[in-house]
Formats: sequence, C-alpha cells, structure tokens
Amino acid sequence: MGAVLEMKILVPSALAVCLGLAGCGNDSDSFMMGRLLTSSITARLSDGPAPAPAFTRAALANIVTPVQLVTREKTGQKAVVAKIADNGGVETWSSVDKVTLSLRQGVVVATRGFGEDLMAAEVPGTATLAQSGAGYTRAHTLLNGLDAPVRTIYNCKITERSPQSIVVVELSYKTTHVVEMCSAGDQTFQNEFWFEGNGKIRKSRQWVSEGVGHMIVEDLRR
Amino acid sequence: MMTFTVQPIRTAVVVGLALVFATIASAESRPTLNLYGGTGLIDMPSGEAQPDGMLSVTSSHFGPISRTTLNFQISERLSGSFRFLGVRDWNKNAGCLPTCTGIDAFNTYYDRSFDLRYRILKEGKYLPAVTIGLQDFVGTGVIAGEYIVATKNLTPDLKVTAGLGWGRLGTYGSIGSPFGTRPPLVIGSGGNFNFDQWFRGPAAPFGGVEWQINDAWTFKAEYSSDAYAEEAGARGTFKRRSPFNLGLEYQYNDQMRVGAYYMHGSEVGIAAHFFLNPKQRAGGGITVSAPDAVAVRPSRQSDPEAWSTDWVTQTDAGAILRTNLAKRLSDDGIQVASISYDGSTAQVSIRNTRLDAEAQAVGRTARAMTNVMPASVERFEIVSVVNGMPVSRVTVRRSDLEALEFDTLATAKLLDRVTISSTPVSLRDAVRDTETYPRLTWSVGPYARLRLFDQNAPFKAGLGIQANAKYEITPGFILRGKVTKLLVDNLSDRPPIPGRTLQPVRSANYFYDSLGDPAIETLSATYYHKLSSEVYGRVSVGYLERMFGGVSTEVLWMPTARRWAIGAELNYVAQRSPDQRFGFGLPATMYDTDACGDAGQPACASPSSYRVLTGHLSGYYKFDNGFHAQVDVGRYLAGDVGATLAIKREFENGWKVGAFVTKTNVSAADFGSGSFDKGITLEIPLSVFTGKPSREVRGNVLRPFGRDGGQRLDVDGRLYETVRDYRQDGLTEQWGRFWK
Repeated sequence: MGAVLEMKILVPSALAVCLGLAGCGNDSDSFMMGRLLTSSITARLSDGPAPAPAFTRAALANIVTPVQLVTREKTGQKAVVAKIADNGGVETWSSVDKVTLSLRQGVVVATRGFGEDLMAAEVPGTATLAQSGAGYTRAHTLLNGLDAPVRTIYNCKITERSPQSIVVVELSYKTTHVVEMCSAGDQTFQNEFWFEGNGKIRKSRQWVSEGVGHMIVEDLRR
Repeated sequence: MMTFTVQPIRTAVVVGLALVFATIASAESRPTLNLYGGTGLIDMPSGEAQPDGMLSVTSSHFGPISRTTLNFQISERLSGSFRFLGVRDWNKNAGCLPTCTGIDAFNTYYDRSFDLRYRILKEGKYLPAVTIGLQDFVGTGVIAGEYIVATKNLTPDLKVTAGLGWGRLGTYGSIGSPFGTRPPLVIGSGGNFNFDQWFRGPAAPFGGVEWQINDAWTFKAEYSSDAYAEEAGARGTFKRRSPFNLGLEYQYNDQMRVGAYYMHGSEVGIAAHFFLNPKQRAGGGITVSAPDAVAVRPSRQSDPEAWSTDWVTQTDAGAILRTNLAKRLSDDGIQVASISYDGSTAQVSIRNTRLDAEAQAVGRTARAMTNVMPASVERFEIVSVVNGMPVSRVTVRRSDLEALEFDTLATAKLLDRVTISSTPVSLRDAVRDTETYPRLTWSVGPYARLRLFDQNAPFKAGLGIQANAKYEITPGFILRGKVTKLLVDNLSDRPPIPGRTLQPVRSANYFYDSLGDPAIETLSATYYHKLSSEVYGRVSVGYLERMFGGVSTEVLWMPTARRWAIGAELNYVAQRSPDQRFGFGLPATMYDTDACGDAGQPACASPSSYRVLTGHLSGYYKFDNGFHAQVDVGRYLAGDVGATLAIKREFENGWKVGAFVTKTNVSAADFGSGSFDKGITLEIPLSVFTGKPSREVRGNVLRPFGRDGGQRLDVDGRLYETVRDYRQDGLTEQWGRFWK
C-alpha cells in the first residue's frame, strides 16, 4: 500500500474540490474512471460452474489501472474490480456495475451490492494468517430481515499452511496455501489464502454470507 | 457489461431451504397448524404457538367442509385467526328445497369467524406449553368453542397434546359442565362477543400425538371431542363414525406444508398451509447497487489548499455542487431538491423516490457528500423532503463517517452521534433543483378487483387493465388520475343484497362493480403544505375515490422526535354515480335490495343525490414494541357518529398486520350482518417479493361484512402515512440501512 496508491486516491478528491467547482462535473468521479478503464474487458458470464474465463494477459495489457479479478463461487459470475477508495488502510474495489468489495490487506471486511452483504468485519491481519499459531476471533456484522445489524463473533484457527503453486491468468506463482476455519455456534465457514514470499495475498477464497457464499479474489497486479 | 447480477429468486429458494434444515435440525419439531388454520393437530388445537410474527394461510377440505384461514402470531404469546367457512349440502335434511329461506337460504352455508389464542405457559424442561383459546368468539358462533390445551415434547421427534374443550369442542365424550350450563346463543345480527357462553356447558377431553418421522414428514393422530352435531348430525352433510383422525403431513419448504387426513372414520381430508415470515426477506436482503465509498479527506497539513474556504465565494459553487451530488444519487432514485452551505456546513434536502428505508437514502447522500463537498465542510445536514414538505433533518459529522465506515458497530455508534430534528417550514437560502419538476409519471398495467364474502361465494374477481397518471406540478402539488377497464370478471353476478336503512355508501358496491366499466376511479388535485415546523397540511379536490368526490382537507401535528401525532380531517363529499364517470346523480336502481325495488315489492327509498360532511379527529401512537395504535373519532360517510380503534403490528421492514373496529351510533339492527364494522388490514412492501428497492406497498383490507355504518372516505395520500417514515422513529428503525 505505498505512497503511489494513496496518491491515486487523493487525485479524485482534489478534482472534486477544484475541477468539480469549476464545472468539471462527474469526470472526476474515480468510479467512472474505473468504469472507463475496465469496461473493455468485462463480460457477462452465465450461471453455473465458471466456463473458461475470457480474461487473458493480452486483454489485461489494455488496462492501466491496477485490477483484481473477483469470482462469485456460487454463480460463477466474474468481474474485474478497480480501486475506488482507501479509508485508513481499507481499500474499496468496485466492478463496473457498482458491486464493491472492501479489503484490509487483502482480507474482505465489507461487500455492497450483493444482497446479503457483509456490512463490516474485524478480521485477522496478514501476519496472523501467515504466521500465528494461536487461535483468534473475527467479528462479522450483517443485517437481518428487519434491517437490524447482527454482529457475530467467530473463533478461528489456521488448519493448514503448505506450499502450493498456483496460476492466476496465465502467470504462475509459488505460494503458501493457508486455510482458516471459523465457527460460531453451529455456523462455520472456511477461508483460503495463497501468500507470496513477500507476505502479500496473491489469491484468496473468502466467505461473505449464507446468501452470497464465497468470493474468489485474484490479484492481477504484477 | 453486466457482471455480478444477483438473482434474488434463486437465492431466495436456496436460503429458504437452508433455513428449513437449520430450523428442523436444531430445535424440537416445529409447531404445526390444524385444519382450522390455527396451531394444532388435525381438527384439535395444541398448546404451542407459532414463531412471533408468523403469518400463515391455510386451505383445508374434508367431506363437505372447506375452511380458509388467515392466521397471525400477533406477539410471542397471542395469535389470532380470521376464517371463511363453507359447508356444502347444508340443506340435505332440511326438507325445504327448493325454496329455503333464512339460514337455509343457500345450499352451501358460508360463515366467517375469528379466533384468539393465548399461550400462558412456554414449554420447559418438565412443563408443557399451555394455551387457552377462543374459537369463533365473535359472530354467529356456529363453530364456537373454547379450550385449554397442553403440549409437551417427549423426545425431539414426538410430542403429545391433551386438552379440555367447551362449546363445539365439548360435544363428544363430555365429562360434565364444570362452570355451569351454556346459555343459548342469541345471534341477532351476529358480530357480538359471546362472553356469557365462554367455558360454559359440557366440557370434553381431547388429545393426540405428533411424530416427526424425519425432516419433511410428520404423522399425526388425535382423539376429537367435536361431535359435528350440526353438520353430521342435524343436517347429515357427512357421516361421522369415529372420534379418531389420522394424518400425514409433508413440509415442502419453509413456505409450504401439505397434509392428507382420514377424518371421523369416513372422510378424506387435505390441507395446504402457506407461511410468510415478515421478519425474513427473500434472498437475505435488498439488492441495491453499492453506494459511494466514503472519500477520506487529505490531512490539513498535507494539503492545506484543499481545506481552504475560498470556494464559498465562488458564485456558481452551489449549482455545481448540487449537480454533482444529484448525478451520484440519481441511480438510487434520490433527488437533490436543494443545497445551501457555508465554509463548514452543507445542508442538502433530498426526495427519496425509490428506497424503502429512508435511512439508506440519508446514508447514501452522506457518503456521496464526502465525495463532492470541499474538505472544509465538516457538518452535513440532510433534510428529508416528502411532497414538498421538509420533515426531519439528520445532522452528521463528516469525520464520523470517515471513522466508522468499516466499524462492526457502526450502526449504533453513528446513531449515537447524529442528531435528528424538526425542520422549519422552508429551508434557508438555497440553490434549488429547477429541472426535475414539473414531472409526469404514468403507467399502464394489469388490474384486479376482488369482491370478498358477498354471501354467494368467498370471493368474486375481475381482471383488466388500468392506466395511472401523476403530474407533479411542484413536488407538493399533484394531479392524479386512474382509469380502469375490466376484461374478464364475474363481478356482475348479483349477490343477495340485504335490506338497509342507511344510505348505501358502501353496500351498493355491486352496482359500482358492474356499471363502472370503464371507470374513472380517481381524478383529483392534491396540495401539500407544511404549516409550521411540526404541522402539515393537505387539501384534495376532485373525484377522490370510486364512490365519492368532493373536497378533503387535513392538518397533522407530528413532532419529529415524538411517538405520537394528532390529526384532523374535514371532508365535504357527494356520492358518485355508479358508472364512475363525472356525474353525482344516483339512479333509483342502485338502491335495489332483496327487500325492495323488484317487481311485486315496495319501492326503495332512493334519493337522487347524497352529500355529506364527514371528518375525524385522529390520534396516532407508535409503541416501542412494534405496535401502533390509531383512534379516530368523528362523523362517518353515512352521517353516523362514532369512533374507530385500529391496532397494527408493524415490522421495521414495512410489513404491517392489523385489526380495526368501528362503533357508531348506528344500532346493530340498522347496521345489519356483523352488527358493527370491523376488519383486518395487511400491508406488504413490494420489495419483499422482488428483492429490489421500492417504496410500493401492497395492502388489503378484509372486512367480514361490508356494510354502510362506520365507513370512512378512502382518500389517497393522507398526511400521517405520507410523512411518518421520515419522522425520527421512521428513520431510526431501519438505521442499519444507513450503511448499506
């Protein structure tokens, strides 16, 4: 998350102040920027297990903004997401059709636009996932059918750390495969993370909610 | 271009099934319903209760008897049912065919009944669940019975029920009359509480077992204390050979259960139960595209220029800010009505045209403002405007939005930090939206008209098309019209029309149904105006509803931070011609009843026009346990004077289930069947079915007897229901949606 990313975030706010007032209008909208940049390669995919995705490095070469590939496991739907905001280390990534995923160091802390969204979450840091042997907790907040927030505390532990080679859109990576198991009463879920040697998450498979299921997030940045 | 297209229906089914399995696996077997549609075995009640808020519809049939029941678990302990009953072959033994009269007038006997049940004891480790109940406790009392019943789970799969019944539940195997003899029923016009009968007369034990074979299948067996003395005995509609009933039920999914039964040693029965849980939403939530993320300001040190307040002096700043904000919010159906500001505060007034939760509209506006407003603006004031009337102002600190965006307790923490207050009549100097109005909205769509319980049939229906148009000259000055045309219907079958003494303000509905085709149902102008910071006003003129036209005026005193409101309404209206064109002349034929008007009968009194001054004082109170009470006192359409009490259970997500009674100075005899006006109301937000945001609500009023006493004008857009969603409690009960 270095200075480069922060600057990208600051540009739109600066535009809102100056250009916005000068009548530049919504072009300063960072989301719109993401839309323009990503629209050329997003495609609607049918339900069911994902068919061969139309995402290739050749297509990605046309995108200048950093993107990640998100797959909703339940439906096989895929979207390329671009970063639209950064709030205190939580980055919000949006698809063209305004579905967002917010990540803290690659770990999902919120979703919007899916229906049964994860409203907010307290999650382990990458250090805990990559190294810690002790158990820890997560807190997930969802809305119930009456729109009241329900905060659930999960007890979690790492059940597996093993080397694994993965391929993310034509490029292969040597990673450590980390499996996280969490439970609260009779509710359980499992997350998987693939860490690179530099401690960054290259790929993950993370639980959102009963209705939304798992999200697979693949970092397409070089 | 679409990527994540969430499919609400499929998700709904998946979630629904998951919930069924979760429920069945975790708890003892669920409380089931009987053929009366109440919690129970087969024909007998049980000691349990449904989950709080559960709404169910049961259709059951055995032999000549059909019952359709709407059952509602009003609170954790109290439940109520409304039932429509039909018994075929009613005159099999009557010997009056073919010209039967009175109770024998029809070969199928129809009746309506209400039940109440109260669970006095919840099942514990050793104690059973115990319920006391009144069946058909108001009305003709044909199926009246009282009971006390206990149910205990012996194992998670097996429960036993034993009870003692009175009335019709004490007619077989009686053990005597512990509380004295049952006085004879005085039916009169029906609809009265039969207090002196309750728990009197012979009492008889009943009981049964329920075995949950697996997740889906349940076996039931019971010993019934109901002799069916009238149906099987006196009238011989079927043969009752045994007190034992057997049944097998299948839970298809969370919303549906079906059963097949062997009844009374002679008949086969079937039942279908449909469950709606207002506390759950299909798909687990409303699917709306993501809101703007909170844009965090740069620190003052790193970018002092961004924090400058020089922009305030820029002459077109307001117009630019308003336009930028409006662009961000237009996809959510939020209109930015006006904007005003100084260096540190920005006030934005919004009109929410789509989102069912106003908190979500406010939350999205706040987040959009973090993207649009210069860094020096710390205080956001968001004003909810409805029909041109500003209602409440939510003041939120921008730094709180920045700090709480990903906090797992954000809903409660932010609610602590915002203030919600009344707004003045008009907002201070502001840059206004000059483009959105005037605005024409229109639709053409399918149309359905139901006529319930008209003595001949449970319901009659018509299907057709409707055209709606709404022209908003300004946000508070609205012209509205609705034209309908039936294409297929059986509404023109004339039902029996009992004689009457009051002006037929409602009971001539058959003539309105059959003559108004096409019909101009409404064509009116409405003007809304806020009179002071807590007082709202409305004037409506024109064809206000399908039976009346004229002038309707209303004022409402509704402090934003209170749970009560007081309103006054005064209307001067004339009854419309049944053809529902433009006239107010009343043809003599619409006064026809079974007692007058036809050949050989005296002519009916038939004034050729009818005008009335009608109005009410109304008090409204929202209890903090989800119940809502409304009392109206005044003069009704037939000129009768009295009061209405309406109680509703309201769910935060917009479901409302209620009941009302009206008593006026019309005597029970003059009122006719039912003695006084009463009914049930049901309102369901459309978003429940679609999973998409919408402010549309589907509502229905069920009246067991549609008569003329105690009837109010049915004018659109009354003030209280128009503005209360924007009051403090309306904003905060769905506050979780602020962050969605």
